[in-house]
Amino acid sequence: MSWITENSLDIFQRFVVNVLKCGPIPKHVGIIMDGNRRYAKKVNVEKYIGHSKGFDKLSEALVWCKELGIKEVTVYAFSIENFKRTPKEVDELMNLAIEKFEKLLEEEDKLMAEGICVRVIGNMKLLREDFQKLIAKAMLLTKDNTNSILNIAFAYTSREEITSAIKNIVKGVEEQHISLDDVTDALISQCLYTNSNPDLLLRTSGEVRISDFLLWQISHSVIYFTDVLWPEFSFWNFILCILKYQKCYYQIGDIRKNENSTFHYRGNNERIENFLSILKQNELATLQSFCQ
Amino acid sequence: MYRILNKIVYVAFYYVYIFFEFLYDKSKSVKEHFSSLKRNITPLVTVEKNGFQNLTKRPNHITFIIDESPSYVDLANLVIWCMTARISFVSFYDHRGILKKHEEKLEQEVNKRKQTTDHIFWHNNRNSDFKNGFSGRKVHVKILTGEDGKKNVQSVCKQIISKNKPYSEITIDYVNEYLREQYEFPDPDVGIIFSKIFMLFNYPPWQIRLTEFHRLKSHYNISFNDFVDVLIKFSKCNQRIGT
Repeated sequence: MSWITENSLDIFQRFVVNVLKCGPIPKHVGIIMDGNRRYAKKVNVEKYIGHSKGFDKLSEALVWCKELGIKEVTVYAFSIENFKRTPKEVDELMNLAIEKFEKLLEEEDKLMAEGICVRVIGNMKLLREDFQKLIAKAMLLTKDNTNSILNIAFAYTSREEITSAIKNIVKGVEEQHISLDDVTDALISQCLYTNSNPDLLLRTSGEVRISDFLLWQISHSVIYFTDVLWPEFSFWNFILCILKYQKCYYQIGDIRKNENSTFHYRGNNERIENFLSILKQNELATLQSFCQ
Repeated sequence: MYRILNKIVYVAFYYVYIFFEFLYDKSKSVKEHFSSLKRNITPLVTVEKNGFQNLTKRPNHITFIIDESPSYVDLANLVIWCMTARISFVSFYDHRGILKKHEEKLEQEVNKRKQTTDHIFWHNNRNSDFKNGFSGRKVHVKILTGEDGKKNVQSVCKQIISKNKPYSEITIDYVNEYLREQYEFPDPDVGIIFSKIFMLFNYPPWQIRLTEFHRLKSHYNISFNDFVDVLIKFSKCNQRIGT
């Protein structure tokens, strides 16, 4: 199954989407796609078939998001902790991911026509070289697209992300790009792999933990846990999730107001801007080095 | 015209959803009520003796996230129940900081309810005298505010810089040690959110990676059964970290 599928909604579903769009729609949704292996066990197939079904569901979910007007999606594909699984399963997962990224690059025209920006967040140094190359190619190709953003968390944990932000800041001070006084929580936010906060976090398959996913960014997200396994997650489950978000959104109003009054966002000074652009350049240089 | 029609349908659709969600919640709470009757919840007195022996797994640290003005009586009950369940660490997170300001009110309420042999260790600036060797029941209590999360990461980052630690030597465990010093408690095993919305309200991010979150609408008049229900849910759940 390809990444960018044509609209697969039927007339009734499209009608419901249009109706829902009259209410508030989250701009950014985070998804923990849990339950692929439990699904495989349930229907008695090999684990990798469960994972592959999980990917198909992702491409379906991306269509739903697009139709609803959700601009940014961040999915948890592979955690650093997942390296602890059996070597066979890790290999299968990597091969599946590589296969899917090759497919993604084949669909270059569609990607660019739709204006989709694909980014991988995580510690890419932990991945195989051939995989790094594919990721870097996809990221460099789509980096200027702005219509919609797909962040894929691969070899990711939030603690590693925060640690790496601290490292970058310590390095910045060592190299005298910034001073000690420039270090704020806002600066740390800007040094994370992604500085975009999801409005809605969805986790399937009945677990009620965040499991080291975007811990920093979900501080004010609406959290939705559901018992449905990810490969079985349907359009209607998603609609239910959006309705729940809308209900929360109407209740949130006063919290957000409080937040704004207590949260004084200090604008960046020139030094910090300079430092952040250096970080960005370094990131680009790393990606380019992966491509060679 | 078409847009107005959509809007009208939306409002109708939304209220149908609200109605069914309400029915679903009610049916669930009725079901839970009956199942807890069947379970024969042991009264508090006998529970005190055996300390929740039927729980196969109990949290070491339970954290309560409050999104309403605090009811000190109910929070004091929670402290006592946690102590009864032999939960060593109890923390309350109030993002507005009201609870922190009136910590002594909670202390008073707890003191009214505790037995003379009980020891409550308040982790705050005023008294930090934690001697070992008490024979009675004990529990550590800490109150957190919105300032305790990301701001702590900021101050840890500054500490590391002032130590002149080369950036290449900074690891997750190294950062963890510093943050643990500030947070004082082990990472929470269970988090109970008292709010109409399932949201973390800027809770300290570093500590919650494996916390199991449950939501209850309010902590006002929270019953012992509600509390035990969450502990039972936790006890039933087995954690797989990544594997």
